[in-house]
Amino acid sequence: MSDWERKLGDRLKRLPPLKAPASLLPMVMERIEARTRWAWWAWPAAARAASLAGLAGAAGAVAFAASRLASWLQAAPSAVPARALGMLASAHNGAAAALGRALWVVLSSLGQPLLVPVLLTYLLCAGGAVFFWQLASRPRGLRHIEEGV
Amino acid sequence: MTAAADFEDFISDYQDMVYTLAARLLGDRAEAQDMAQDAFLKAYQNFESIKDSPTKGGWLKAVTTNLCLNHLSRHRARWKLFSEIAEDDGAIEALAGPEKSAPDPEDAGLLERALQALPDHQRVPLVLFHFEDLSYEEIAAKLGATLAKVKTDIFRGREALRKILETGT
Repeated sequence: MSDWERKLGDRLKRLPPLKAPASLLPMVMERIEARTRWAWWAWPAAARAASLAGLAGAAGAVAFAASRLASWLQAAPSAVPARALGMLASAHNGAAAALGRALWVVLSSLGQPLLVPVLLTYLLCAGGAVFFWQLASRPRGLRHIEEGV
Repeated sequence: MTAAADFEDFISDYQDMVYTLAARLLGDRAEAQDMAQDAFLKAYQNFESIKDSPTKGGWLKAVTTNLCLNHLSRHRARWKLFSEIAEDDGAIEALAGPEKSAPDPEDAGLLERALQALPDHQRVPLVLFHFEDLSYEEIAAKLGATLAKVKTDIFRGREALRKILETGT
């Protein structure tokens, strides 16, 4: 390293820090406030309890409906598409018939024994992951800051 | 004192340091302000655990550096981490050439502007080396570059600084 490079290195190290813009602090605080305003943990306690109850109810309903649908489709897999196609054909509508055939494909695939439990498990896992991510990402000191303790 | 006031004091204490580091790494003051905000948001999320730590300044510097490097690699089409020079140490000596009359690097404003005028791939390793006191090896690891390329880029950055200082623009 030459003398000039050494001198340059020393001078760079001694460069004074830049002055942060005066708007930096208020902008950071504004972004924090905006985040906390809409965050789940910032909702009123009653709203949080209601949302948890609603989530649990929805999960239960989905589970129940899925299990009923699965057992029904497994018991009579051809009844649904036949009835649906019959209704559509009587309307003499080609597009509707095509839609009906597409629905039949979807419903037939729902009749697969493993599809509904897999779908249900996926939905429950996704819902649980979102819920626990919300809990885990909650800043620990947030409540104190919000309440100005 | 409230926790909110604690955090505002924390920002006041470190905002110049964070903004300076971001501005020197990015070479752009508007982007530096955005990155500084992001760094403080991360600090806010971890404030309970870092507020009493004696190393919170270092933590904040590491976060800022990582945010800036991520920003450079994700959002700048012109960002090239490596110089296009051949990957051999001999290139550094070949670049050195004869000793020239040395410009005076004492003008802080000019030096700051010269630093910002450097291309990303020269400025970033130069800043990490001279301001953050990282070794060549640490910079190479951080940037995912070879040691030879980091040395070359730092050397070229110094030479480019010299040229800018010589012309005084």
